[in-house]
Amino acid sequence: MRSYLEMTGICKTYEIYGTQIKALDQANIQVKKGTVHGLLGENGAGKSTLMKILAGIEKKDAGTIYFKGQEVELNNASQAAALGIGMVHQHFSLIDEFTVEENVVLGIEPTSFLGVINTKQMRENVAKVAEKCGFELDLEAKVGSLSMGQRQKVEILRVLYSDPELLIFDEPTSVLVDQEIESLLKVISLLKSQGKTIIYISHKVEEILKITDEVTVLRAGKTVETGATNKLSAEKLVHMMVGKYIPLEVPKELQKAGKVLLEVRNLNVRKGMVKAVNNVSFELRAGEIVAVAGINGNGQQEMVEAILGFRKPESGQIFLGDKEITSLTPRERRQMGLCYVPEDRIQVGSCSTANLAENIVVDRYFKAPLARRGWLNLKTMHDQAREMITKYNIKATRTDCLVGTLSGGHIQRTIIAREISADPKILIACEITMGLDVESARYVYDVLLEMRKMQKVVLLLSSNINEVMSLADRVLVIHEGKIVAHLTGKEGFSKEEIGEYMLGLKRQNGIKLEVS
Amino acid sequence: MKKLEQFLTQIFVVGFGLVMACIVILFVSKEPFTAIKYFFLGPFSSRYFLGNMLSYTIPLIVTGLAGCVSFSASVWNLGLEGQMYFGMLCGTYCAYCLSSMPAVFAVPIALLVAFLAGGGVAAISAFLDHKMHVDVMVSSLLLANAIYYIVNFVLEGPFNDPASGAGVASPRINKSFMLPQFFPPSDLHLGLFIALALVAVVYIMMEYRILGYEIRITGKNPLFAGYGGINTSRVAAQAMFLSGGLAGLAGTIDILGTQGRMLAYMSGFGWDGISIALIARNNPITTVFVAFFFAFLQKGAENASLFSDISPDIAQIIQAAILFLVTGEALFDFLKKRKRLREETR
Ligand SMILES: Nc1ncnc2c1ncn2[C@@H]1O[C@H](COP(=O)(O)OP(=O)(O)OP(=O)(O)O)[C@@H](O)[C@H]1O
Ligand SMILES: [Mg+2]
Repeated sequence: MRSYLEMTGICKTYEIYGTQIKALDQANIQVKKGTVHGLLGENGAGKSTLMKILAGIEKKDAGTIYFKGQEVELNNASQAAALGIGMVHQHFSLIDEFTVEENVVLGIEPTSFLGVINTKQMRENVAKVAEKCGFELDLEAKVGSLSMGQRQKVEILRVLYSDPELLIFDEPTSVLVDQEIESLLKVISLLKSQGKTIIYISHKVEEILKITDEVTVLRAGKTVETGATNKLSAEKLVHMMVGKYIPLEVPKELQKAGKVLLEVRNLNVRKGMVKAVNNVSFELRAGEIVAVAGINGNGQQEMVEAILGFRKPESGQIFLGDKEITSLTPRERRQMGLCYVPEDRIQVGSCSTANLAENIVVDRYFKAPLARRGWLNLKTMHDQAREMITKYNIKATRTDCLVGTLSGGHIQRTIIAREISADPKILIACEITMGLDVESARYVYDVLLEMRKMQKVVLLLSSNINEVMSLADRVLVIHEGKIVAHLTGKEGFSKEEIGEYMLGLKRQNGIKLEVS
Repeated sequence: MKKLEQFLTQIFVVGFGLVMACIVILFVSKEPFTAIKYFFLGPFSSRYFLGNMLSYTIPLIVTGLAGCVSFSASVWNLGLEGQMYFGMLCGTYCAYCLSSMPAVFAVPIALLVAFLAGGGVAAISAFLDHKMHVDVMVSSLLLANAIYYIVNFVLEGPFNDPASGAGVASPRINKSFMLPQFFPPSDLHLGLFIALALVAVVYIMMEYRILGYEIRITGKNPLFAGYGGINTSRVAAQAMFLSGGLAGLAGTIDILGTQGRMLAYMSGFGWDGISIALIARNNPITTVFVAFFFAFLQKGAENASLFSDISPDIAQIIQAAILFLVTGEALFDFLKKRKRLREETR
């Protein structure tokens, strides 16, 4: 008797300029009907590739797939969809110009007479699915205007809407906040109770322990372990994922904050008709990690963009040290030591169609030693890229491979490598560990703490509350463009408290924004 | 992999063009086999035809390059024709005014003026985009149409050679300014080497210069470029200026090499430049071959019309068909993405 889904001996090799990249090497996975199956492994292990093969998006070189007892050939996405296999992708493939509901129903629009889309019906259907998931979304907003977290929800709705019987989630929670993750996990349990089968890819230990029944672990394209989740401890699970024990505690030494490095004074930013940032003031001091907590879309993105010079503030001032930078260009700000890891790593943080070296030098290609008198020094450029590959453990065989061919986690590492190697005084880090495996996330934490020790400052924007709790010295909570609370470590802060401020249920009076 | 795919599409486009040519001829000609024979072999049948075909390739290479530069930055300069036409007028007028100067000074000055004039027209579009968010695609196209009439007006009136009569043209420039022709009896001229040198210059600029890097990155992902600190509107304006400048050179080189004066109501090299750059996928070196292919289509059609019963306009029909095929691709990408999304949820 075969399992519900069996993939055996799956191989997949990519070729880049003659270099072979073995993404999958005899990988196996067996999934039982009506279970949630975790697919784990370090960055670049081949998880996404294996699932893309199952969803008919990539072709396997060798191996067999049995689905419901029958051998199936999956040559394209519609064959997989016809069999009832649906996938939430790691990187979104939504159409920016379409609205949320149009994106959700695309391909299976409810039509009325003459194939005209029945807008009313569409709206009702989508609203129903959204409500079931507990996702709050403006269904008529254009996807291009949404934050990453909101897009992720659209992507999830898309797949739920088509109602497949086998659902694949490829890192669906990397940009969702706690409450949203909660409700997604509930939806998954609900689906499971309806007899659906779920394959769940994630690097987050708590989620895996909570939701999965069984796990399969890939390493370097091979299946290395499988087993029932209830026999596993968090430590064991991490060991399985990255092949070594990683302490989960982040050691943070107490340390006094130094002089002010960045000051924001009465910042107001408008986005279209909306006042996105409303009279925000704060300062960041040397040797601090300061977190900005807030539900996606409460103005934090606009605030960051104004600080970096990508968005013109309506009024207000920004100081770097004692120099005002309000009217400087993004490049001038970068040159002064202000660096940025953006939350949208595909559209902003990297260029998928440019190669690794070109991606790594985007902030410094014009200066020695990379350039002289207008000429690029390509050799130095590729040498630097090679150094980064080694130092930051980027899984890329060549410095001229396109960044789009890297795995999600390795794209993130490329971005981090560039920003950290610029030796920033101030790092604005948005979802910096998004998509990283436990080991590399841990490495990034160490880097951030090292920056703190070296009297630099990190402004941390993260949907991961645990990350905020273990790294931040202070937390600024932003709600509807206003800073509603300033929580310092001394008074102590709890997850629940931050949550209440974030939702706007609570608000501090007479917020004191300086640290003494 | 991707490279191979690109190469195959290009071969496919060329093959498609040739097959189209045969089909069109089969339809319109009473003696299709003679026509096809002259179409394919005519341009190679004598020194005269071969040389003229190569001579016709020269301005196409340069307008193709002009397209490559702006398209690489994702700046859709569709006004190459206007920039070229205006550059031609200014270049010719300049050469005319400098008649008494020695050629070593006059010719470079005329070329420089043509470059600046073409670039200047393009800069207007860049400026409108930057200041008022007028799409470059629209403004450059509209400007091209307006310039066509303005330049023709100048050639009819103030800068007219009365002797040219109905074939409206400017006065001739000093004979000593003409680029030497070296493949008699054809009019293939030294401009060929200027064009090839420009190919090298553009290639080197795109690959090894800071500006080339900025243009490529801005073209591939403007958000990323801006994030990295690149001033994308400056880069777009620079690309636009260079593109217009090259277009301006293209026409002037042709005048200095063949006619020696500017004819009104003529040209089309600019429009071809757009298709050539698109087919060559902004690769300066491929541009040479695609330009040659376009010249071959044109001259093949002219040849066939000389010796059989078809009209030279079929070259335009074929080129238009190819253009449709190639420009459709941008739309394809969108449709492909939509199709993929659709398939996944079928
Ligand atoms: N189109 C491609 N061309 C070349 N190599 C590729 C391509 N897609 C994936 N790879 C390579 O295959 C390997 C596995 O990638 P995959 O995306 O499956 O990793 P993953 O397990 O999902 O990692 P992550 O946790 O970082 O998302 C990587 O080394 C990647 O570089
Ligand atoms: Mg992945």
